[in-house]
Amino acid sequence: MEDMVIANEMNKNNLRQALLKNHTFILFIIMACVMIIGSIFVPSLMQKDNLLNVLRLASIVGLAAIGSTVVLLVGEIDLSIGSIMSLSLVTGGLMVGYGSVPALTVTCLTGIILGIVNGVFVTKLKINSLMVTLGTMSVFGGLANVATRGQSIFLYDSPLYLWLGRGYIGGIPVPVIIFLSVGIILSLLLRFTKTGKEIYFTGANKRAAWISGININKIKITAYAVSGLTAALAGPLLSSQTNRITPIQGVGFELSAIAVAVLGGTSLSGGKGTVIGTILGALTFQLLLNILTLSGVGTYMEQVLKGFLLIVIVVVYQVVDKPRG
Amino acid sequence: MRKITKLLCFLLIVMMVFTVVGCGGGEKEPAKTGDSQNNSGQPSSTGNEKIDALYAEVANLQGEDALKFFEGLKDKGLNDAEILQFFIDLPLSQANAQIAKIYKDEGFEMYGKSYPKGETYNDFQWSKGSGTKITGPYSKNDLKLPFTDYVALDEGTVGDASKKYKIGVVFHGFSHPWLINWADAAKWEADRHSNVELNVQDAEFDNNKWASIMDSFISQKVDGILVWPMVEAPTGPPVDRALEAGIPVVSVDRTSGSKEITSRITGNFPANGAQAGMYAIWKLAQEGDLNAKAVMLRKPLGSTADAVRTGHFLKVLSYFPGIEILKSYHDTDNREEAFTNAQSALQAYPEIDIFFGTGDHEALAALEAAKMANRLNSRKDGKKIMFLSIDDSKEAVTQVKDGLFEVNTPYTPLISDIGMRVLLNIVTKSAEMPQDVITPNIPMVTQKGDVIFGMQTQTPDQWYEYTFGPALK
Repeated sequence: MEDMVIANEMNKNNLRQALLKNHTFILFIIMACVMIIGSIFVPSLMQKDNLLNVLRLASIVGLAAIGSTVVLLVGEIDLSIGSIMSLSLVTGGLMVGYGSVPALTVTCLTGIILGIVNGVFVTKLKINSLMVTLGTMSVFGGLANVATRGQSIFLYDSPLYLWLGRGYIGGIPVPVIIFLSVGIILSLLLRFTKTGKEIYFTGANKRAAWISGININKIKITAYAVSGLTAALAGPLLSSQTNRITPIQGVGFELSAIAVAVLGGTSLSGGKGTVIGTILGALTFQLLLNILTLSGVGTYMEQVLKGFLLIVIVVVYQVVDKPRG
Repeated sequence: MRKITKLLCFLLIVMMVFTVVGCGGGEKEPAKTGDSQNNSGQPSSTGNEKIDALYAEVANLQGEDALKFFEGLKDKGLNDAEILQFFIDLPLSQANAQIAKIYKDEGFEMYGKSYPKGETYNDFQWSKGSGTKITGPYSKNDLKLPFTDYVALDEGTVGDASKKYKIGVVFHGFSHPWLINWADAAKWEADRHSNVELNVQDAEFDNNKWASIMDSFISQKVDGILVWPMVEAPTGPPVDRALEAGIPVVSVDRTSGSKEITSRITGNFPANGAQAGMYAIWKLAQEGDLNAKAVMLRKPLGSTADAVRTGHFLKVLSYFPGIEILKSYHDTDNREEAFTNAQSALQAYPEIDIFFGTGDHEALAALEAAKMANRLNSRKDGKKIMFLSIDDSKEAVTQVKDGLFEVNTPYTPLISDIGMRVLLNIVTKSAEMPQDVITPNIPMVTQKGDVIFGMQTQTPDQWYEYTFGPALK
């Protein structure tokens, strides 16, 4: 009987330790705290319309962040997410005259192709991914301007395109459905498929992965293609909210995407992180922004607090990850 | 475990403190009525006895009385231009304590005073229909430059026909619809003169790059430089270096930090703000209730366009104690940010009568946010929210035509051709140019061309050909 009590206590302690080491769990707790405290001081936070807005906006940055998560998992980085979003948007936008479906198809295909370009540069030319994507960020962004001569493409006559960003299915915003669908599919693929496991192995230990027969280059190119696709998918959700596509629409999105991925517990050194964490990261990120906006601290103070809170959360992760001696 | 707990507690405390501060600072006390003591934020005399007498008369009026006074301006012998000028120079009233406080706290008086004022060069008067149709050399947009008769310069060679005049142009934004049209107008003018060689450089919203382009123009010994400075302070020294090197510099639209700049062509920021204020009051009066709650969606804090427009808007509103400014939101000239701000405003305030945008991005974002939140007709008795827009993009003026925007007060990028002509006159020593070249005010655009306080406005169709940017279809 005494042994069983001790064993139960040990199990409880192990569970507690495991939970405290789990970034997703910690983020969940943080998000819950943010919601509770926020709703006390900002009563409109918990209104249905506001929460739907938070979800809608979290879906856009979250989609891009999911792609960023996959690239970070293989131990690389993608700074060109914003530019991929811009270039794929305008490429698809140039097809808007032929209908929303061709426009959206071209947008997604462009995203995949640009992602593959990044992957090929990183793997075949053996250039550091930071430098490659820094370069392609400029190239893709510049091409977006060249393609449109800096002009906007209006979406007033593209109801299907607009519906993607503004519509509802069963009371749930369409972007949320797209975001969660992509998130769940990718999460399952990463968890249960051979390629998914190889993505984790590659990021955790490149050399060991190579020795064990994993085609590292193929895995990395796949990761960049996924990142390109999710960046391209996020674009129409953003542009349809303001009725227009511009060649600078994705500018700065890469940093938000990477921030959300890291917030969601993805390691910058690869091999560690989950899509579910990134989904929670996107929700927490957007919730924080929403509280700051509703509480009226002002646009500039929002930037300060956004960065500050991000650092605080990452510090929490570092503390829980620190080995105890 | 203790460390984690401490960190979590720290995080929560920080959030609580900032949230509390935010809640406290976000709301402003509604105005107290009954304070009729007016206090001018402007010079006590405008130099025009007739106008000064009117200001003395309006000084102690507020609400309905001020409205009646404004409605009688035409009968007091003022023409359209004088009525607009009356509202531009209108002193701030203390009747609306909240607005007077915002005006003072944000230093709008200083911005208003430092913005160039005066008569147009050679008393130029703009008339509808004048100007020149072009295809933008860079944007390929169909445009009509409204002021090609202003500081007119004949096509063909300028100055010494045997000499090539090298002109440098530095601005920001081949990726920006307003700015690319700005560059279009400057290039169109330069291209009309075969002995002018143009070098246009985009600083891509980087002030350091802007300065280095200026320095490269100095080292190339260009004959003159046309500039669009994004902000004042960092653009002063490069302009001064060019002037020291004997190179004339002309700015168009925003002003640089150099006090010695050869010439500056400025637009109609004060008129934009005053016109938006006029329209808001006129429309409220038409509806029969001078009480309203307004949200201001604004450009970056400290930018000339934002401060001068907002300041002049608030001056007109300051005579009406029933108007409450719910909140100001700033963005970084980004429509997506403005959209988020508008969504937050709609969430935070169940009653919004007016959205005032200090640029077309802001007003267009507010419109889309209101549509998405099903709040377009959410005012008392199902009335539509009023959207006051500035900057005459084709997109914004189309919204006026469709009845979604109440008003647009035009501000056109198509004034850089004036700057180019001024610069060429200076470079070739063909004519003496003043330091300040004032652009004529443009009548506001309303759906039906209403008469506002005796002043005739224009319809979207009348102004459409002069608007900037790509067409909607």
